[in-house]
Amino acid sequence: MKKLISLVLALCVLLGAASLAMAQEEPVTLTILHYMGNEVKLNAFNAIVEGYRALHPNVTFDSQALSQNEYITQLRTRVGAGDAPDIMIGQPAQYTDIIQAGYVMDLTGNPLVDKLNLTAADIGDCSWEGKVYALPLDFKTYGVIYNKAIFEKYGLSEPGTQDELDALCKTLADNGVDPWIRNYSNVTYPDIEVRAILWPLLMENGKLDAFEKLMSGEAKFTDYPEFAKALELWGRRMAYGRMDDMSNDTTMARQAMAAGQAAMIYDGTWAFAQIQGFNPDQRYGMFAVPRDDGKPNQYCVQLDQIFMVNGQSAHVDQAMDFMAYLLSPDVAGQWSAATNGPSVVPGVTVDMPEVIHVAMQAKENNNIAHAGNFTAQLSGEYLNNWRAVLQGFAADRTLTVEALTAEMQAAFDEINASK
Amino acid sequence: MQARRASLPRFSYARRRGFTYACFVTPALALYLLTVVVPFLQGIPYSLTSWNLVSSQSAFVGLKNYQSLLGSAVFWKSIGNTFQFAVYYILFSNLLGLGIALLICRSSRLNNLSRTLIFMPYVVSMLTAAFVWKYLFNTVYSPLFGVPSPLGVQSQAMLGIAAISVWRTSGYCMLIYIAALQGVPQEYYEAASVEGANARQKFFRITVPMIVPAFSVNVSLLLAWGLKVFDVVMATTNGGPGRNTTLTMSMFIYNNIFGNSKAGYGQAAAVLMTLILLALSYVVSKFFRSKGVDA
Repeated sequence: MKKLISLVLALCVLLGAASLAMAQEEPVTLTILHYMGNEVKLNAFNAIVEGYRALHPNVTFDSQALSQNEYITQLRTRVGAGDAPDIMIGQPAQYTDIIQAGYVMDLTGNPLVDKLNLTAADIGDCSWEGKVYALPLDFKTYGVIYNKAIFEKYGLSEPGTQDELDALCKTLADNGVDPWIRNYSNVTYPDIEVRAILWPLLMENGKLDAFEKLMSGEAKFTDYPEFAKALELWGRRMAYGRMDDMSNDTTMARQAMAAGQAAMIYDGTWAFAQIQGFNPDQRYGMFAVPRDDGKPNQYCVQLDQIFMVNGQSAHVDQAMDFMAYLLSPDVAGQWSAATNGPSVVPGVTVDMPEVIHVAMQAKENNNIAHAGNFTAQLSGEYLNNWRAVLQGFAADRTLTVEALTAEMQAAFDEINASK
Repeated sequence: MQARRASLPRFSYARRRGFTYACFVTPALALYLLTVVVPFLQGIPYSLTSWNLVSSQSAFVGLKNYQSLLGSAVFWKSIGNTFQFAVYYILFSNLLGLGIALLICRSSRLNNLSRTLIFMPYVVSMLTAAFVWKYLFNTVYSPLFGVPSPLGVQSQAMLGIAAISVWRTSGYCMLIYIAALQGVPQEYYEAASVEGANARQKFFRITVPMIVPAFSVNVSLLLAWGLKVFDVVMATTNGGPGRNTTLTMSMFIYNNIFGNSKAGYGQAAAVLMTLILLALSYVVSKFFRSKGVDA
C-alpha cells in the first residue's frame, strides 16, 4: 500500500513539474514600442533583448523602433485600435490619455521601483497625479558640447557668463570658425535650448507650477519674466548662426560637429555616443549654457529611457520580468557602456567619457534643474505649439521677444478656447 | 436551340450596352464603396463626439466640433496653405509637363529616352523624394547658391515643398500630354499652314482646344492630389518652420486625431475637407467638360 501511495505521489509530483515546465515554456511574444532609433541605442537594446531571449527561449520580441516624432501618434493609434504594446517607452505625463484609459500599470510601491532608490525628482518624472507609472533606465542632461581641439587652438576656456560666451563666439567667428552647429529642423532642439535658462530660473524662483498654470490658462507668459530672459539669451546665442541652422537634421548636425565644422553644439547626453562614433579621435567637453546674472547655471535633467508597462497586457508578468532583467546592474551597465547613457540603476559602475561624467557629477551634486520637480510639464497640444512657436523664433530672427511671447500666448489661448 | 434563343427576352441595343458598362463598373464601384465611402460615412458619427482616440468612451457634442473648426484660425490657415500648395503644384506641373511634351512628343530614339528619364521621378515614392530633396537642398543647393535651404525659410518653405512635388509629377503630366498631342490629326496643322497660320496661332487655335481632355485629366487629378497633400510636408517640414507655416488640411486632421488626442475634432475637419474636395472636383470637371472639343 505504502509503495502504491509513494508511486501515486511521485507521479503527481512528476505531472505537476511537467505541467509547470510546459506552462513556463509557453511561447510568449512581448511587443515593445520605443523611439531608441539611433543605431547605437538600437543595437544596444537589441543585444539586451537577445540576452534575455537566451535565458528565456520561449519569449520572442516584437520590438519596434520609431522616430520620436511619429512615436506618440503610432502609440495612440495602436492603443485606440486595441493593439497596445506590452511595454512602451515614454514619460507618463506625456501619455495621460493612455494612463486614463487604463493601459499603463500603476507601479506605486512596486519592489522594482523601490530597488532603484530614485530621488524624489526622479520619482516625479516617473509619475502622474502622485502615482508611479514608469521605470527608468538612465537620465539625460543637455548642455553645450564643445570641440576641445578648437578651444585649445584659440586659447579658449569654458565660459561662465553670457558675456564670456559672446566674446568666445566672436573670437571663433573672427578666426573663420563657426561657433555653433544647429539642427533646428527638429522642433525638440529650440525647446531644449530655451529650457537651459528657463528651467533653472523658474526653479530658483519657486515657480514649480508655471507650466501647470500656463496650460490651465490661470497664468500668462508675461507673468513669467524668466520666459523672456530665456528667449533673450537664446537670441544672443543665435547671433552666431550658419546657413544650415534650420535645415540640418539631427544626424547631419552631429556629423558636422564630429567633422570639426563648428566649435559647439547644443545637445544632450543621449547624442554623445553617436557624435563620438562619427569620429572617435575628436575630444569633447561640456558646459552648462551660461546666464547673464553672474550666477552659475544648472544642467537640466530628465529621465531618458523610461518604460511603461501595459496593465491590460496578457503578458504582464513576463513584461515585468523583462523589466527586472533590464534594470539589473549587469544589464543596465551593459546599456550604459554601449550608449554612454548615465544610469539610474544602483550598482552600475561604468567608465564614462568626460562629457557624461560632467553630467553625472552635476546630478550627484544636485547642481541640476530636474523636470520631475515641476508640478506638470508641457504636454500634448501645448507642447506641440510651444515647440513650433519657438522654432519660428529661430527661423525668423526679426521677431522680438515680445512678439514671440504674444504669439505663444495666442497659441495657448486658442487651445484653451477649443476645450 | 433556335427555339430556346427565340424564347429569351429581347433587349434593346442601348439596354444591352448599359448592362455591359455596368458589369465593367461594378467591381471598381464596389471596391470604392467599401474602402472609401463606407469608412467615410462611418466616420461621420465620430465627428459629433469628443472622442480622444484612446478611450473606449466619448461624449456626444453635437455640432460643437464643426463650430470650433469654423472659428479656428489654425484651420483656416491650413486651408490657405493647402490652396497655396495646390496652385503651385497644378500650375507648374502642368506648365512643365506640357512644355516638355511639346518638345519631345515626336517619336525618336532620343525623345523616347528623354521621356523615360523625365517620367522616372514619378516611380519614386513621394516620401523618398522628399527625403532625398531635403538632403539635396541642405547639402547641394544651399552651398552652391550661398542661400539657406528653402525648407528652412518661412517665406519659401511652401515653394520648396511644391518644387519637390512638381519634380516628381511633371513627368506624369508630360505623358498624358504626349498622348493627347499625338492624337491631334496632322491635317489640321497642314490646313492651318495653307491658311497662313503661324506657330502661336496653331498652338492656341488647334493644339490647346484639341488637348482639353488632357488638361481635364491632369488638372482634376493634381487638384485632388494637391488638396490631399500630406507625406511630402510631413517628411520635409512637419508643418514648420514655425507654427503652421506649411500646415496643410491633411496634416491638421492628422495632428488633431493622433497628436492632440482630439479624434472627434479631427474627424469633423476630415468631413469638411471631403466636402471641399467634392465641391472643387465637381466645379473643375464641369468647367473642362464645357470646354471640351469633339475631335
